[in-house]
Amino acid sequence: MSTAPVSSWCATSSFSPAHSSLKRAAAAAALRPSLSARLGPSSSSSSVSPPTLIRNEPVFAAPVPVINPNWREDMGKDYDEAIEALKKLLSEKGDLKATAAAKVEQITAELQTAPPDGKPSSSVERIKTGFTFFKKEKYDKNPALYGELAKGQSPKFMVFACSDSRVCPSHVLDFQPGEAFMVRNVANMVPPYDQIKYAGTGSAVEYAVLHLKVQEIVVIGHSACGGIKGLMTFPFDGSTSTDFIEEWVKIGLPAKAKVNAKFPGAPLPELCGHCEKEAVNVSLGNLLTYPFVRDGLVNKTLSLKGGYYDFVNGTFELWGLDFGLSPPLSMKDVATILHWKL
Amino acid sequence: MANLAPTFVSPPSGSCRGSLRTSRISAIKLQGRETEQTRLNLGSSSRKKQGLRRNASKENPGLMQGIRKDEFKTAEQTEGYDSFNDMKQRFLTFKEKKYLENLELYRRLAQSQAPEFMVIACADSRVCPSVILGMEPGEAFMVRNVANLVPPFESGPSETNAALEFAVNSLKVKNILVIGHSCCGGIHALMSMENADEDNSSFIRNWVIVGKNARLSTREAASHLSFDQQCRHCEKESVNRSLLNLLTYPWIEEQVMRGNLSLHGGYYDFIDCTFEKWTLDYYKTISRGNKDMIAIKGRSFWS
Repeated sequence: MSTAPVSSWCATSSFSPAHSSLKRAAAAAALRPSLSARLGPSSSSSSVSPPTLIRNEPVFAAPVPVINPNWREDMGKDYDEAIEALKKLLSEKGDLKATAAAKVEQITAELQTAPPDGKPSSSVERIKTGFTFFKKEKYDKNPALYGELAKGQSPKFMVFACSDSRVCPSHVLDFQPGEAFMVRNVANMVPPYDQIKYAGTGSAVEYAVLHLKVQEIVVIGHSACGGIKGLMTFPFDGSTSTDFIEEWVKIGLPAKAKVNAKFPGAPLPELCGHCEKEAVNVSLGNLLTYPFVRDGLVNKTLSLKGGYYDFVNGTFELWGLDFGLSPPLSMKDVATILHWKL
Repeated sequence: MANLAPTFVSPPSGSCRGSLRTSRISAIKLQGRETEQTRLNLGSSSRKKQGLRRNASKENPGLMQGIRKDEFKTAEQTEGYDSFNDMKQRFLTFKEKKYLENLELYRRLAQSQAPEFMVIACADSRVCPSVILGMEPGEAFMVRNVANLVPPFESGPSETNAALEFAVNSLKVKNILVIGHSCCGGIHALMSMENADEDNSSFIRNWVIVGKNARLSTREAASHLSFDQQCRHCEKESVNRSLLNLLTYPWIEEQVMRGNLSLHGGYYDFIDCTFEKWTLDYYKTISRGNKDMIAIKGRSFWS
């Protein structure tokens, strides 16, 4: 077994325990003969200084199936195994000793200079705990559902929600995997049709309506929205104080104008509350500028809804857009918005 | 008046708004519903919710399919009333099981948010990070777009970089995590862009072109593989490309340099249910003098 790459894997994984990477690399070497051959020469030639093993190819070479490592994270046993493996290698190939020494020095240095407050590792722990819980409590308990989802998705909903950490529709509207194609951006805005400027949103709507064939598009606003507050407070007089935020939230300017006209002199928090809902209506109107959305509405294969999640009071409002066609008028004049509070 | 439902959990928040033009459809639907309104007060919602469900079924058996089931739904819902009720049940489930159980947390969150993570994930319905990584409200500022792409600074304003600016400069998140996933439709479109010349994919084409460098390096490294394997390769490669694009934003690079911000990549494989995670090694990346090649550290694999 070619173990040349064993040492080379060490340097790249300064964060995870050395033993696990050695073990993994040993497994990797057995399965990836081509990879080890490539790495071999580079590691032996750069014995002068600690080699920076930045692979000039993608991090995960696809030639082999994904390895499902069964390494354990308990330190003691595997560390000894790793050291044994390294000793064995060096006894076979003495010329690698200098390289190995350099690498081990590097690992030692990196382990010593781990962040004092350990923040990255606690973030890793957080994600790992979350994923493990999901896998045990949900994925493994619903093999039928997740087996189907692995083959494809056919969500009924497309949801636009704000990026705000407090309003994820998977929580607020209890969406399960496979139910909602979800776009999240600042202030849950849907910009009007523009293939150059707004390709991101446009591609999402196009994919959802034409390929996934969703039946409902729901735009959900929420209370205390930072993006809407920015919309209400930025002057939009030609000067900008941000690189991108003003350029984005200006999509909601019609809502700002309407709210300012309707509630002149009202305090800012109240204006923001009105604007949060009005901006949802602006987004719904913008959805009408996409031809495939209009087609869906006319054919009654698609319906649009607006929503407002108020997490201060714990309430949710929902309203629907009734779409009708009347030749002489504009789309926005014709659309009827009815409100229905839950 | 059919439109104004009298029940409301919180104190009335103001006058009825908007144009209350009724339509034929709404009159019919809401009429049936109005007689069964129950009041939902804080703390007693569970019993009332039960009552509401029963009433709904008593009222109109045909609408039972509007009640959300736990299994993956296949029932067609064509009635406008059903979908309203569906959403209502969804929200009430959240309210009963999560909001009311954690009132303290939600009251605190109502004041402000201070998420530690910013997560950029695909809009795919199967990969919501709140579910697969158990992100609770308040933990992660989340952007979801097609194929979890991050365009570089030079490409100008877009929805993704407005969110980046807000997260890094205002919320001061400590971690940015870009999560790719298996069987990504957007990456599939990126990889097959030259092959097919579909008229109706111009939006998708204009967006996924952000990942063209990922496609180039995939083709270099994996052109001998099957198309599906190439897509898989590209899914991970595009995460790395997005991480490098993050560094093109000056205010991001500054925070990374100072150690206040870490950039992570992730890959969720929902066929085997595994998750890989790695961290961008900033100093190693820039020490090569070539910002096109990424250096990583801290790779983990969970299965």
